[in-house]
Amino acid sequence: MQAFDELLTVEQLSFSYEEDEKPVFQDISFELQKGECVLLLGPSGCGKSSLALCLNGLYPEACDGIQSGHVFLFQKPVTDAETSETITQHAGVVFQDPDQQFCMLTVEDEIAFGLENLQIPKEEMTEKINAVLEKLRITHLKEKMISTLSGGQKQKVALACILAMEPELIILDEPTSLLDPFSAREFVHLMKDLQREKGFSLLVIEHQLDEWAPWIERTIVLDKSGKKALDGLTKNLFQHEAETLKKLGIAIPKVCHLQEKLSMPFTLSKEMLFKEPIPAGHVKKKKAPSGESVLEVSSLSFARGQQAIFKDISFSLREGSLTALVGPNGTGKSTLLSVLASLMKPQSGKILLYDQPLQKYKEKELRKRMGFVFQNPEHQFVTDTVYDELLFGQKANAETEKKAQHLLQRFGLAHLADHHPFAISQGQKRRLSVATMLMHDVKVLLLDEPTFGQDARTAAECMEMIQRIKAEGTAVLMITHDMELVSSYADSVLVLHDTGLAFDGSPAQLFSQETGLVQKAKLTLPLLYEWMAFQEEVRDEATVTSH
Amino acid sequence: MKQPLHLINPTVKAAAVFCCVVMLSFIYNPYTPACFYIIIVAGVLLAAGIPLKKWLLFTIPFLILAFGCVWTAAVFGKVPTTPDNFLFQAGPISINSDNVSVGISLGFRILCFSALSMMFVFTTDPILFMLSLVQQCRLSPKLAYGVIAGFRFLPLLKDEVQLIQQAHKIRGGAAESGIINKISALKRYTIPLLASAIRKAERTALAMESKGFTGSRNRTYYRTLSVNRRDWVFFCLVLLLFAGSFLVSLCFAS
Repeated sequence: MQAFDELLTVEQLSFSYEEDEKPVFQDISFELQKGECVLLLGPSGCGKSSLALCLNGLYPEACDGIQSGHVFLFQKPVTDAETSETITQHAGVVFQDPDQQFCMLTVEDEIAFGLENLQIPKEEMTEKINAVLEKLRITHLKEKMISTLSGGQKQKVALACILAMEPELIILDEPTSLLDPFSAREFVHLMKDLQREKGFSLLVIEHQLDEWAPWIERTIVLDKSGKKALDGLTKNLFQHEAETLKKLGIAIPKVCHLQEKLSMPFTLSKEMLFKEPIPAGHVKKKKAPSGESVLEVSSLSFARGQQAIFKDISFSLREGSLTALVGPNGTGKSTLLSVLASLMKPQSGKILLYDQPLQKYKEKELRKRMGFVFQNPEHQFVTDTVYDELLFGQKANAETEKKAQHLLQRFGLAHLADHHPFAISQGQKRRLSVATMLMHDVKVLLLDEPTFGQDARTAAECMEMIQRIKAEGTAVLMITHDMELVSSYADSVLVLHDTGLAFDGSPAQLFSQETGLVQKAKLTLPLLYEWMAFQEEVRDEATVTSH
Repeated sequence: MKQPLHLINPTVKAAAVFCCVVMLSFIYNPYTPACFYIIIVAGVLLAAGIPLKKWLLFTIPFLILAFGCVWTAAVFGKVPTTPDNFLFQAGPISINSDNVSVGISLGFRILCFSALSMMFVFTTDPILFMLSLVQQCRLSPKLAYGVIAGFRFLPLLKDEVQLIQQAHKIRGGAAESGIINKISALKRYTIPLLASAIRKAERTALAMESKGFTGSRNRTYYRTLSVNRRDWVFFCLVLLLFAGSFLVSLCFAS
């Protein structure tokens, strides 16, 4: 093996979609050893995903892009006719969106699809499929339709497809960003065990690093212009280059934040951190929201056909408060939001906006008082320029124009006023969709996963924006999977689980109670609470043994 | 769900349906299609396990169409009414048997086409049909797997339209009453729908390629479909039944 330890060599690789356009990423060189694991980080839009696709040989052919520099696999260039035929066999990719990486209908057919492409004889296929299903403990899904699976299961199936092909390198392109926190954590742990066992190389592109950073030794960081900014041991980078990383918009693992006040050696492992006592003053008590109730929901039920989505839900949203709506994938959180916005009719129950039932409002009046930002902001754009987007449905006069200008300034979109709303970046789209809601004087703002798919900086900007809107007296209800966000920003939290509202209270209450609800609802504890729970356990054990 | 008709090789089944459709197009008497229709319905209900209710429900629109055909042919038929073929008087129009017979022939032809198509659609797994076309008819895998991947998108598309509708409703101001508003709403839906469809298609294509799909015929198959004796028996049986219906018409005609 001595000479062949080098799996992948990248030399001065640059790539752009069009001839004269500025490159998506440029001048990237690195080497990847057999069995090595690497985190590939960078702000949104720095070309991480494109780089991944260049590495497994799909780009530049698939998109007619322009590539310069070289990629070598086992010291042979991937552009070699012979290598390019087999490269996909050596480098497999798991993509971000569980709904957009399958082409067959059932799990076994999907896994077989890759094997068929490799021209594996039929008899061996059955064996390989069974083995990989067994390995991932999803044998029971073998004959299921992929469309009926949960997000977490789909990502496992995607992984199974790749694993069955036995590649030397697996590339994960934000594999957990659409999963609920529990499934996400499960996926990472599965990945870790598999890597240890099979010894494949791993390249992980991710925004949420908390689970990955402790065990992936090496990190490569790209900057905004797509140049390689840093390359080194993960631990060293987060210890010594934290400021640079923050400036690049990269999330620093929560563990690093929490240990700032402790005089302990730097660690990325939470187990090490948990051994230390919690420094005083870390747990902030938040006041319960005291504003007046704006939206009052009582015994709300909704069913799709015969199947109840949720039953008998009651809660209220208060002026100037941020409420988080959490729960496992597919429990109907988005449906609840749609019902609240009167886009779908509830089966029974009442929704009062300022003590008046929603049906009493005229459509136009209702929309002026209630804003809704969809998960995919593109769905909501109806005009051809950013500026027109703000003025849509408004009376054209000096006052509204002034307001629109002001909002453009406030959301950092002024220089894009003439652009098509579909042609701006994801973060900008999100800001624009919120800005359009603020053209009216909304009293209630509903947000469906506003920080999803954004890098640390844009996500933080987004939360800051929500804080400001909240401070102006708006009641905000937000769906999220990010428990750290819930614990640091939300005033109260609703847990939707098993067709019912399982919890309505403050985040601190939710995360410190011991009813097991957090596990049941597929949530995870924010790190600080996990720390506290850990210490509690240690203390309990100590008392048990001392007796 | 594995009824005899489900087990027939999809390509053979499609070929049988196609042959029948072509032959029916050349027959102008009303007896052959009528007789053949009865045979198809009996066969399908016995050998395909399709619930009668479902079958009837899907037949209704074709029945209306067939009746329309009979009526149109009877009323507007070219053959002039003579005392020999006069049937009855409907207001100012006299109906004659020649025109009615043409109408009935057309009507049953429509019903036969519908019954054959329904037989095929209800008893064939679309994925297996595509795979069978690749394996038996040397259809390019590139095309076949493209169609299969596209097939997955249909239900997603419906959800997406619904979402866009809701999202636009939120934006207010866009009342969707009146034809002009509806047309402009359609235009507003098109761009986001196209944008996301293109993106989805691209991502799926990338995912397929990254699993080593090149579109070439050099591949093995997890599900191999073959044409065996049972399929040939089925094919011949269908042709025989058709020939039988044709003979029946000869008896009636003489």
